[in-house]
Amino acid sequence: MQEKEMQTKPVLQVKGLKKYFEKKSMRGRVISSLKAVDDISFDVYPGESFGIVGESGCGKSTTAMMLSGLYSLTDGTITFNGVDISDFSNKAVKEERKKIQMVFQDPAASLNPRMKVRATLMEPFVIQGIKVDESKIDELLEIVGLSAAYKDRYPHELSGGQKQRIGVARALAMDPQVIILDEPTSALDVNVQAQIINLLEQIKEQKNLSYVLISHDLSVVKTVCRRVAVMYLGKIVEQGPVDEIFAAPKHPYTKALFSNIPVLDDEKREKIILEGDVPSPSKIPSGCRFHPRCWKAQEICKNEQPQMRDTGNGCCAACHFVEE
Amino acid sequence: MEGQNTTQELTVQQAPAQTKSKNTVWRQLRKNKLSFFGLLVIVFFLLLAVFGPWIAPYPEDAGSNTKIEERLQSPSTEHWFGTDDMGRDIFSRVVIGTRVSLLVGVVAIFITMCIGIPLGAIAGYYGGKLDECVMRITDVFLAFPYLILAMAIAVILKPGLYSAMVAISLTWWPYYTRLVRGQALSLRNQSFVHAAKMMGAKNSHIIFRHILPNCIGPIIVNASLDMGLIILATASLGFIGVGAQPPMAEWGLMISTGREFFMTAPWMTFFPGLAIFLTVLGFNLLGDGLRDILDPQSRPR
Amino acid sequence: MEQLLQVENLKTYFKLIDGTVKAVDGVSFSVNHGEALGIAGETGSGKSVTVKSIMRNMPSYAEITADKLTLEGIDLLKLSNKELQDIWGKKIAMIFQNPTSFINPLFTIEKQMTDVICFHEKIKKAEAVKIARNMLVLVGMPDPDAVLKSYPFQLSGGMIQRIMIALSLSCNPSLLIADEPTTALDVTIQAQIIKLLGDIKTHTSGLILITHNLAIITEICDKVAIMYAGKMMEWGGVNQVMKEPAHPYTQGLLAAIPRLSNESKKLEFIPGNIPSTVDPPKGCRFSPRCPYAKPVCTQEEPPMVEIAPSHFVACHCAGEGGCR
Repeated sequence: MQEKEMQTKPVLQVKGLKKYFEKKSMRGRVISSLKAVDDISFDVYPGESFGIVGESGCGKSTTAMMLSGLYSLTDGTITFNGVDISDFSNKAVKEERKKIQMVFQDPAASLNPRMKVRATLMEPFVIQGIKVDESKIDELLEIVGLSAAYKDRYPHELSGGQKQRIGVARALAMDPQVIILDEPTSALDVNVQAQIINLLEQIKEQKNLSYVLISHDLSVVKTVCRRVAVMYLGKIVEQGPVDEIFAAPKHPYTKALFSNIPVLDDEKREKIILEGDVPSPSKIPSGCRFHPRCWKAQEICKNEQPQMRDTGNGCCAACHFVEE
Repeated sequence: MEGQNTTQELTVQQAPAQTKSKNTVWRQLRKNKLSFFGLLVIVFFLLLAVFGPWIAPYPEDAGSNTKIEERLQSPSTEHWFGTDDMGRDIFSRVVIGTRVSLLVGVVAIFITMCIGIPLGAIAGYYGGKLDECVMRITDVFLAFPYLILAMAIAVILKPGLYSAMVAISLTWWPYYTRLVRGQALSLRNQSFVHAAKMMGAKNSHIIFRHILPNCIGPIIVNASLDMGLIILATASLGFIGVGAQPPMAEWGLMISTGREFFMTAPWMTFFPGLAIFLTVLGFNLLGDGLRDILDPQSRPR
Repeated sequence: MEQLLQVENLKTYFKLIDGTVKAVDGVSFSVNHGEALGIAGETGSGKSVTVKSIMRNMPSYAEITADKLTLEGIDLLKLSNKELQDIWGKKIAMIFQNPTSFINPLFTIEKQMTDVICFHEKIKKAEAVKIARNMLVLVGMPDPDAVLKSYPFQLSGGMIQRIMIALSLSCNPSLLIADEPTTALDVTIQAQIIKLLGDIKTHTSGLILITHNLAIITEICDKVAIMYAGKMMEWGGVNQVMKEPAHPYTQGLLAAIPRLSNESKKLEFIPGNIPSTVDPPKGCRFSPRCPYAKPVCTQEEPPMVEIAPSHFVACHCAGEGGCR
């Protein structure tokens, strides 16, 4: 099953993606550069959920903004259904991009407070110039598990979970192939989170969607995704099938990160407490970006950037000592 | 419990009966006694403005009517507010002057908004160089005290009520540009604007559907506070002589002519002054109350 | 064991124009010397209001009543505002979710820490600096002297949370209350703080930890209290409650948490939404959402019963072997 899926073409292909935020002087010289995302590559296959995890400042949200076309790329390519969509000033690319939609982190900010649910869900059709009647709105609401009576509500009359459902419905209205989920449940309670996760799973199966899930919550990623990339300071440090990586993380950062999640399970992993904080993306350490916090760090880590290496079972990690 | 795997089917959430929103702007305004008083004052002056010529006992005194035999009479049952140096009834002139002041306020605010809001929305939404340009222009206007700038413009335009109106509008718009720009700047990074962009929405659609509707609250608040200030500014221009010209019944002008007779006939300055004071107070009280209701972030906790 | 804090039938009502919000409605629990209690619940369950009521740190329109509210034998309800100031910081200390907003950005850490210590301990500044430094060492700050001289903006969120913990411990409080201390922090930093809280448990007589994350409670606490809509649903030892949850709400909540060991892509959840605390459901407040609700549940409020030694449950089924 897994092999068969791999043989199909990826729906979304990201190669060498970079985003530098540069502050320029009046003469156009670069004063300071912030490498938010620095050369990352991954593929997303049809019907798959791909997770990107990491701590704040690792570049996962910037990646989401670039995939959704809200940020321009500094370098690299994004290929969607075999078409290069990196340059979105192109009109044809703009059309193609509509098949990538997004569900946002803060449900309160993702809906216009002055628009009723009806107007919010009607908007995608209005923008595209498609005439639809009320029944389409009812249908969308039903898919996300809300009754048609919610049409006449304003966002402030809805709970956080309901707002997030409307956000999902709005994304679905564009009939997308890929939905980017940017921390869709981090503002919600556990119980509501469970409802939204189940809903997303059900919709994915119904509509054969692909998800790119951005999250800092590893247990959510584990539940939703099939493959995952772990990011640290703008780079992917480890990538592969979720089950493999969770069972045996190879990169020291992944190991530490996974051991740090508070879990309810009986078998508790031994905690690896990392020293210090995540460095600022404007002051990236030399060599391996993780070396100042790594307990395995040696001389080579300070000087040389480790390359991605295959670690078997479809996983790869970027560490000099990954074989050990 | 894991073994059972009793996954619940997704159930459709039924909407509970919609509770009537109890906190409408009107209800909240009613609760705020001071603002409600302000509203009453404004309604009172609005009625005066509309029905002025019928309320005023001597409507003919609005113009250059002269009754030398009745000049400078103190307030009496016949002339409630007394008479001026031309023998005109001050009560009638104050009542009829209401229309002038309120009209100037409304028109000036309208012109101000027509210039200020689109500029602010465009500057805030597009950002970058365009924003820089617009903001530097507003800086130039804001660098002068508004009254001095308005005076200069009014003089260039030939003193008169209409040029006072235009002068005030031309000095006032930067405040609205700044206000709307600030709002637009924060709104353009909201997720719902991102969502609209991803659907392929045009910039004009985003500005009209998402940016401007969310600026309305602060704009209304500012407009109601500014109404008072603009009425005051019109009166000031009239007082200096670059606004309304005699014999028009305009409050500022009436105070100006009453200045000479301040020691002998203080009612000539007092009653128009009281009218200005009350309208400005009314608009300020209402504006403060509206700010609490429509723009809760700015309320001090 | 000696009881440090005793709370019996605590009620906090907010009288508003549109009705009375019963944010906390008859909550009873106790904290023994040397014990850590975790209070868990969803948004709006009243967990934060409970501890704020204990501290009597509430706006004037809040009405706090209790049959008993004592800390080390002191009746907290009878204290004047002046006496409360002596209690705060010295007997009860609190740390918050967003530490940066509780620290003044204009002064150095040393100034802020010594001010508090001097105020409570009535000692000279030089001694206070010594205490402050010791406290920073205690919370594992790598370079305490440099930290004392720095301003808040020079420090990261994780470090400021450490400083807040150090500050709250500096006057040897009997009770430390931590309100969502790690929610705003990254996973690796959260792990550092959780470990720290576990370590410092021995330095205070008692700890109350409020969180929506049950997993964190299992890591630090001895006892756990589950709140729902202003009421205590279940209360007991962490292991008992987590392993054999007796209340249907606790069971549902635990099932909704995504687990790393879970193979399924679906999560269980409790249907429906949290009821309003203005007009709560009659009888058991959980009854409208409870899968085991009986007629009696919608009529009568269930009493707290002890189903096992120091394991209390407020459920009608609890006495009959529980709801399974």
